[in-house]
Amino acid sequence: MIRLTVNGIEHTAEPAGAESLLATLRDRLGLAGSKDACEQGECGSCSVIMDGELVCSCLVMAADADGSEITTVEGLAPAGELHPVQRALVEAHGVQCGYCTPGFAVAAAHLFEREPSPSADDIKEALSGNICRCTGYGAILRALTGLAGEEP
Amino acid sequence: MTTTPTAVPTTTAVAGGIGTSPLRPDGIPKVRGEFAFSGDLHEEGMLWGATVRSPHARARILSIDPAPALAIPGVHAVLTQDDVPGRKTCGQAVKDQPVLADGETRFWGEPVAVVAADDAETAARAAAAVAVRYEPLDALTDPGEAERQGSVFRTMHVVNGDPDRRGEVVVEGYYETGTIDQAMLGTEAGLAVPDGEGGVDLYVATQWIHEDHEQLYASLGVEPGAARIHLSGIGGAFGAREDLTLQIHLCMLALHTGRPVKMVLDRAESFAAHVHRHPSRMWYRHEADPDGTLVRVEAKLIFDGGAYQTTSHAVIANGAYFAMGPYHCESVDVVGIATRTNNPPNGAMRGFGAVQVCFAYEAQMDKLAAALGMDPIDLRLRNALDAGDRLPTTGQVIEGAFPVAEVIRSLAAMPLPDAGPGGDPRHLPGGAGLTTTAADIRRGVGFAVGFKNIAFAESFDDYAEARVTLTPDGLLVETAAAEVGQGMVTVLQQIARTATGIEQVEVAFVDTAAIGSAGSTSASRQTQMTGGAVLEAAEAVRDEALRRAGGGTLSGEGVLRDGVVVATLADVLAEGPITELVRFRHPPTTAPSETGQGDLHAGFSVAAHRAVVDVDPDLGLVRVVQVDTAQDVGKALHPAALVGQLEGGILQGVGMAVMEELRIDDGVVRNASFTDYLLPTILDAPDVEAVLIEEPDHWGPFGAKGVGEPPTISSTAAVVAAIRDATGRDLTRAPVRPEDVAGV
Amino acid sequence: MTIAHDFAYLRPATVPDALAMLADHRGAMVLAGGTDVVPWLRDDAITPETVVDIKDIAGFDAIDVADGVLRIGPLVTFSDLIASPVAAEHVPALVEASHTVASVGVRNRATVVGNICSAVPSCDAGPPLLVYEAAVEVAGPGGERSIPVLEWFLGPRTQALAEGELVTGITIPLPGAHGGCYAKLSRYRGEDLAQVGVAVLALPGNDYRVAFGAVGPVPFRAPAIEERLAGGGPGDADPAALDALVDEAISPIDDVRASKEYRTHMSRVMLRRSLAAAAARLDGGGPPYGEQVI
Repeated sequence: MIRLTVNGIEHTAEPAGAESLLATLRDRLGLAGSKDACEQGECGSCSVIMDGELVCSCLVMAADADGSEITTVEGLAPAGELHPVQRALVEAHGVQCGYCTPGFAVAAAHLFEREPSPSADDIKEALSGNICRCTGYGAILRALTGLAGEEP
Repeated sequence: MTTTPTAVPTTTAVAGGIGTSPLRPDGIPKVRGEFAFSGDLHEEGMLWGATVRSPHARARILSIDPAPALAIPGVHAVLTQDDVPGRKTCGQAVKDQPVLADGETRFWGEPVAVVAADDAETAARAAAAVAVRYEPLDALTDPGEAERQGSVFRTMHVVNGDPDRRGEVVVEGYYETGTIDQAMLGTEAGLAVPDGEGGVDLYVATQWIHEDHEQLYASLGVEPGAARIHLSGIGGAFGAREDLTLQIHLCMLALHTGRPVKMVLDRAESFAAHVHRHPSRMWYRHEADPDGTLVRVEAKLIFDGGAYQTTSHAVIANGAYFAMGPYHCESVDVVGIATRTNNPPNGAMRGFGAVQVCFAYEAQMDKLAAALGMDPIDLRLRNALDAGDRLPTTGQVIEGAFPVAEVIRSLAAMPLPDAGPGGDPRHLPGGAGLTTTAADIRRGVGFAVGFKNIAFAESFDDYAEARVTLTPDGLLVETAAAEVGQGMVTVLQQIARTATGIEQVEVAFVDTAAIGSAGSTSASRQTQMTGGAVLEAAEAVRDEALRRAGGGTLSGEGVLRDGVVVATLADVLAEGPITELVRFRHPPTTAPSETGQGDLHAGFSVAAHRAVVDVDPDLGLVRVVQVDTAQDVGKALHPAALVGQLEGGILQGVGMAVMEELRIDDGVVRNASFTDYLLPTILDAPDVEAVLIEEPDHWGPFGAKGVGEPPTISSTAAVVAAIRDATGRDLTRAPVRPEDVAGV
Repeated sequence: MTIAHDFAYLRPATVPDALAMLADHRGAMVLAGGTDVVPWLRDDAITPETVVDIKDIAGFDAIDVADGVLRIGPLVTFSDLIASPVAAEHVPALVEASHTVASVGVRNRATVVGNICSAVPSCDAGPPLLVYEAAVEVAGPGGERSIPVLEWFLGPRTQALAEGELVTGITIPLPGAHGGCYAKLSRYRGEDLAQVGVAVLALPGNDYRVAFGAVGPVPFRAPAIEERLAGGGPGDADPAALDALVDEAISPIDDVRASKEYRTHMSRVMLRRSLAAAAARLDGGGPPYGEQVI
């Protein structure tokens, strides 16, 4: 039995064995926003913020997350609202198939929390663990450099 | 990373019409994580499926014992080929692929059995516990050997012009491309729900639900109406979802157990489950007159189709028909062979046969320019085809727009980026490690032009249905077309808006029972095909509404005359619903003659790419700095989404040029993971500048052309040309390996 | 796919508790960041009956300097090291290596100690720790011992830790003035495993330490190269002779990432470049350490 605070709400769950935090979030807590695409920490689709740090939730054992505070894509903004990075991604047409989008939103939100005006190079470094196969990253970068108040 | 579309926004009477870039309706759900992809589906009481796959490239199955799997608590079913209720095989054109292995496995990863269990873990354990005894057999994995043995799916021989025509300047070359994976982010996933009456509803991410449906009900042995396919959220496709993977398996398990069954492939399985881009071997001989006039091209192409046909017949046809690029030539002789081997099956991927040959013919054009002492861009311009010309391979007169020369000129006129990488180590080639300094770098520039047909060819009855209904609140557009991420959902809204003046448009993706086929979301066809159907249907709805109101103009408020609403939408609908179903067809195509002649294609699109690379020749490392493009788009219906297609397609081309390749030894994939199959990250993505050439096409809405594939056709060729320019090496194989660049 | 074989999950609060658990459960797997262990568990690549998670042990996340020794706790992540002024001051080449590990989301979890415990041949912490002559501090049933990193790596995914032992930290004697460098060859700018990793330390008096990763079964020092270089500038050694020594030192393999021949060639080129960078840094010049990663 583990306790997690996810997006401000306390949950308990009984993950099995080496079940990942990602699997617990998706299959036990019904939070399917975090995506599963490689299960090896290569693609960032499963990015969540755990106790203030960006992590690949596929690489975190759920049991190990006991007692931690998690923010998933569903919790980036209050219900009915968008986090600024979410709004920027939508408005700059940075969303195509959308499978990578939650991971990008979480990683970008985490970046902007630490650094409100990152350079284009900072943005690229911070998002280098997130793979997008549709956009070629152009619109994603435009969205975030725009948010940072800087032309790419 | 800015872009400079030349599109001038079209003035429309309605907000969000064509030529503008409205936000996509699914953008907010997607960015919030609320959009349900096929892997996110859930049904009370559902079981989980898993697949037993062959570990051998080829083996005889001596026995399959399900007992150890069934002995695991929570396991509900183990099904094999004996359990396939209907047709035991599937496939698009040819039904040659067993739904489950038929006594012999013919490729690594071939499905042998499927299981259903209470949860994913138990299902995976059960799949591992099914006892299959294999007798490995000699696998045929060399395409050259397959050709010698006559193990082929299709042989093309495209011949045109005077076979004795010879040029004074001759260049020959041999080229290869590797096996490439679509690597869409969402792996194969679906949910099958039995209806309790012997039928089943399948929710799945696919590119063409009606084609899936044809194969599905036949193999399930049920009436067409008893199996229904619903589109669920699709996490990218790029061709990987054009063939069946888990569709029949899921429905078999659901019908057998009487329970809903969900299956999600993991990444390693995904690499095994779907087809890939054909690896190719290509021999070329180009002959030209001394003034640069291309007079004869001979080519022999071998594309390895792997174990089953899927779309190999059409991929090799594209290879052969587009084998010499968008250029004039008096005399052409192209042999194209799709081989059958024990490699994993190859089929559809963005560019569909046009990518491989472009890599070769553009290398040949550069080589020919060097032999002629000509500027390579001048050589291309000198031979560029135009609308009204005959395609030198098939003899077809090109209708509609085909602005090859303008595409080339526009791109050549774009400014090049500043010279050199500067001192910032983040702008140097190589990994994050301190491997390279600016002093080690050489810059190169490469140029390539490619083209391809749009929509299906060779007399295929290609159509798309769409239904448009007027409601008191606006318009409802219904279609079975797959929105794979490309933004068709927005474009259909825009077309309906511009056609009717009504801003409120909802697009509903409906199931196989609710509407006829929209055809495949492939071949760059949906904007023109389903878009064409929506335009005709929306215009008919508009005309009927205006007829009922006695004329005027239509808007979201109703019918206007002299700026005054004379009938609301509800008023118009008082005498009955207004709904129009249109089945749209493109201009007919013919079947090829024995020599590949005929009006085989519905239309064409051309694009060119110019790549700038920084290379460390000693380490063999490449950084693709910039890839600029000019593309023939007909009409930019949604400029922002269009640029997104260009940028995304270019990066896939960059991946194929410098890092992506499925490594297959003796039929076995060695790098079926995202750790080992390298994909471009945001740090690897070049800047892109784009020029859109808008010359209306002869069919399709507002002259628009499909734009999805051309970005991936010549971008690979351009990047490799740039690396050749930087290093002086031949580099006849894509992807280029560091070994090739360093000459090790 | 989650294949969850069952195991007991224990979470000790102290080192003695942890040792007791390791003593009670033979074959137990110690879990720190989990970026290797979790996928291995999931793929059944390892099947321990017990997993001992050490995250609650106080002080294990510390980086500190005392008595001329830098100590890195077993829970120190690569991100911690990147953010540590102490590490930047004393072991800049190790910090440089930390920048090259995977991506932010992985670096936030992956630990330096875990990296050398996993002991894959391409581990990025291996070569820098070898040139800094670090030691692995271990507690176990027989008490505490200190294992020089030179004796730590025994084979691919195999190190010197004995049954029941726990790593309590890595110690590095402060190297004093030096120029260091970790050069990693991975093919593209995005995350990738090392195909070749070279760490070089240039010490005053033309004294050099050289270590390689990913070109042998374990990361290793190259004493013959160090001897050849000793006493001269980095450019003084005959390049052909140096290449020959590299060829003797390494034993690269062919795999899906790179051919043996390519790894050999790269090892030669990167050694030359690393030596030049380290020597220049010793003199106060050269490229800045690592990258400006926030």
